Amino acid sequence: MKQMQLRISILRLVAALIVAVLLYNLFQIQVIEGEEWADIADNNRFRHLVQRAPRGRIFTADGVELASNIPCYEVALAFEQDPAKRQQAIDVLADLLGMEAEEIQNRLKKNHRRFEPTVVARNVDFATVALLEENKHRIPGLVVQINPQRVYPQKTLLAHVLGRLIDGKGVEGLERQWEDYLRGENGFSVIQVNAANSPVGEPVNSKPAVPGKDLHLTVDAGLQQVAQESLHRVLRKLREERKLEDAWTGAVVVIDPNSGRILAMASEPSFDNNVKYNYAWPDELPQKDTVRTYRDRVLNWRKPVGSTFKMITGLAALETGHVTATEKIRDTGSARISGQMVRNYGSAAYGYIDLPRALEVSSNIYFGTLGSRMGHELIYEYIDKFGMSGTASGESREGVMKNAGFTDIALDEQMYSLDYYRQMMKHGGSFYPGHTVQMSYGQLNEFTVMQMANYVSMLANGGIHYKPYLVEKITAADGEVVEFFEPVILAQHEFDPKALDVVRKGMRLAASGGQFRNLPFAVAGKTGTSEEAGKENHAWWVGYAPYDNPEIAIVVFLEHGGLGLRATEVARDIIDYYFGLK
Amino acid sequence: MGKKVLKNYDFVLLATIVAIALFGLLLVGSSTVSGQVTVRGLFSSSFFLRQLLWIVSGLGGMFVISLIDYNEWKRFALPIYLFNLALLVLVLFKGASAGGAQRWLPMGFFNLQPSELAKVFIIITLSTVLAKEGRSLDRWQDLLLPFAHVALPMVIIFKQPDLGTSLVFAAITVSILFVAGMRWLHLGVLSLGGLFFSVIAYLFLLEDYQKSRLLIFRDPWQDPTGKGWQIIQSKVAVGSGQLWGRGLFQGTQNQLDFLPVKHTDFIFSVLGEELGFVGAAIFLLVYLFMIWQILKVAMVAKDNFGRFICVGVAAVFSFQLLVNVGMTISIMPVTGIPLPLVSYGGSSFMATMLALGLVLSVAAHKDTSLF
Repeated sequence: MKQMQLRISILRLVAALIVAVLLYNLFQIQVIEGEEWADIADNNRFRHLVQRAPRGRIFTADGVELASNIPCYEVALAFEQDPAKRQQAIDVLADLLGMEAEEIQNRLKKNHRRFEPTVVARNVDFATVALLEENKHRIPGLVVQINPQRVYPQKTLLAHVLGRLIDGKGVEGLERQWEDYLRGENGFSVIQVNAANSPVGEPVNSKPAVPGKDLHLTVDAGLQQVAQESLHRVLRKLREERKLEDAWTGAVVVIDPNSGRILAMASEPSFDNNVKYNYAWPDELPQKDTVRTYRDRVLNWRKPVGSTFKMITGLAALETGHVTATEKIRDTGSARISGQMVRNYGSAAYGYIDLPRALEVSSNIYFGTLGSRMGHELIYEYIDKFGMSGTASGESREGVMKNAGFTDIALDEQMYSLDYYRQMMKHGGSFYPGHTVQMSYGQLNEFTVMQMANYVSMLANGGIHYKPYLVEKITAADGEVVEFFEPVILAQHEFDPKALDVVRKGMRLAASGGQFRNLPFAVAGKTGTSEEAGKENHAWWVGYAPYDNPEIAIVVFLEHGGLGLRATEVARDIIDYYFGLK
Repeated sequence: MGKKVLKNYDFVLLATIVAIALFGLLLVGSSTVSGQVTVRGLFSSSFFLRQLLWIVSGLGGMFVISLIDYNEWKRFALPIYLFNLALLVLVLFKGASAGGAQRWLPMGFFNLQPSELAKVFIIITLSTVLAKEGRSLDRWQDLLLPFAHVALPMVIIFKQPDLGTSLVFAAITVSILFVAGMRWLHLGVLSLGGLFFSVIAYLFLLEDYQKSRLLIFRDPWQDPTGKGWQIIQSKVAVGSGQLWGRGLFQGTQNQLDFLPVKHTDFIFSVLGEELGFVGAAIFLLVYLFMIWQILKVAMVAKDNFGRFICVGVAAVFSFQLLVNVGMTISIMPVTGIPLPLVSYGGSSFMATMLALGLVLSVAAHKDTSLF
């Protein structure tokens, strides 16, 4: 009993000891160090500063910077607990930034992370930042951070393809499709600031930002420039000299037929990516949604391609024995074939002609005849072989690719080509032999410019379908190559070399005069003039050069450009630049 | 009986308990009402109202229990022990989780935390075991039964995982065994063993989140806006209270929401900030007085059963005071242990009231003829 009393007393002492230890420590913290802690509570705050990662840059193959970043100032307010000081900071800041105090107030209210400053204004210019720094003492909690801002130094160059950002995130074009690479990883630093709002000592904790990775494209900046300028210039000429009022839009693709590398892809009208989106259009452009559109006319636009289609008809007929290289067909200038009235341009009659000659003079009679001999199924078989299969009403179809398999831009920003036969079948329309005839010289079906580029490439390289691509290399900020993309062969067709040769010969004849005079080498090509009901005709030119040893395949498309011939000027500019002829 | 009970009733202890509980209510109000604190504001805080409800009902329950002879509970020791285990097992499977641990049973209008009740239950059952006539604690094997008795529920709680509460169990066991006559030698060896076990447990038994919580208090600055945040902010709050404090309801750390879970685990930070060292010291001394008073009841108890109950309850108060207050000033790790009578929370408060009801019953039923 006695012993228990003693031990209970010991427990009492233990309890007293506990309280003594606590009191001793409380005395230390509250009385001896109290002022320091009060100071921290009153003035010293931790600032959790975000270090924004610069976004990866985009370069052309020859190293020209298409997308880059410049440092921009971001003004933020750290939480200030004294309501009077808080209000003062808001008022002064509102005054100096020319903002409504209420707006700043609302932004502060929305920030629930007390130790992270609230961003009040982005993209503040240097003069304003200097002004703010001068008035720092009147703005308790002021934080100026650097936020890299996206810029496109080449302005309109390749603008459609680069795409754009919303709130720092890619929402279109390459910026969107390659977001995972381009986006870096933000870092942070936690610092302490004193009553005067200046940082005290080293950051308590920090993690550096990891910059995004750089894209290196297959595009050649000079060639791209020439393609865009030439396209722009020729369209202007058509409007001014030939009174083609609707000739505002068009597209060009230059592709390496031996790899699928896209060397240039232009879409007109272009726009300045740096300018706030809706104000990017030049004033002279007509107020039409079809003109003032950011849709890439290479990937996201389709039209009938006119006579540029005739090589498919010709090759198919030769390979399947529906015509021979030596057979001559009588061209009377206009004729009724399978119930369809067919006319040459200007109803010119060429007499008995073979296939090369038919391509040279672009005889609708000749190819309409071949079409009626073959039937539409065979034509579609060859459309398939050239990777140009389409769908009805733009819906997806198994095994059918958009733009010959191009995937460097998101598929929902690209278009399927239009398969006229399927379209008719789907919507309960009728399909007559006359339709096959029209189809065989490039009407009814609609294709994209990129598909045409792949088609000409395959004519040039003998039947290899390379996947067209734009992004060749991805590098980290330190230059290390993260990914390298080799050419990809999607399909390989063994076209009959003799048949192919006949077709090519025709293309050479078709591209021997006019713009293609005075060249040190022969060029293969074909013009096309396609019709759209109630509108001015579209002008096309497809071809490759040199004829003997193709290095580039070219497609030029002038929407409402009137006559295929008009497109050859652009093609010549491209050939001149690429081969250094001027 | 009525007259004798009333004559012996420890009104001083009762008054101390009521005072501390009401003081805690005020702090709960201060930490949950934002802006200018008014009487109206207090009564519109659901935390304040609930705590008030628990205080009123808890005090009532405590009073009723204090009138019943605590020896009545002895008969139910086995059912209580089994019920205790059942609740703890139930929470393992059906419990609601928070912060990586499963501790609560949702009961509709409030969440029952069985580990809080378990403390009181184990005090009753362990005291029953040790108060048996003729029990000796001289030999090593004498310690086996009491240890096994506590170990079973303690391991389940540890599994929840609730490290803090399982340590409270250790404090209860050691204190009661100590008063029951455990040998100094055994105590010394067990202390060393406990130390050794702690190291092993830290290395192999603790969850990652428990480890990081345990260690961060040594150097909260390594993650000042993350894991170290509440530790730093709590210390800033307490320290900035200085000698006199910023005044009740005036703490900036508190009122501007820099303090996390301030109405429960970190309620002492609010006290430290708003009432300063003077307020904290007075509070701690009153708290110590309450513990002394409980231990005084242990001294004058008419039997060992009552004595052990009081010792167990005093152990809970002392240990939790040390760990909870120590945590707010970074001398103890953050273990999620509330400050009994003061922290917001129904389970903790009700369990505390039950325990204090027993203590008051021991006091009321003491054998005065001895003195």
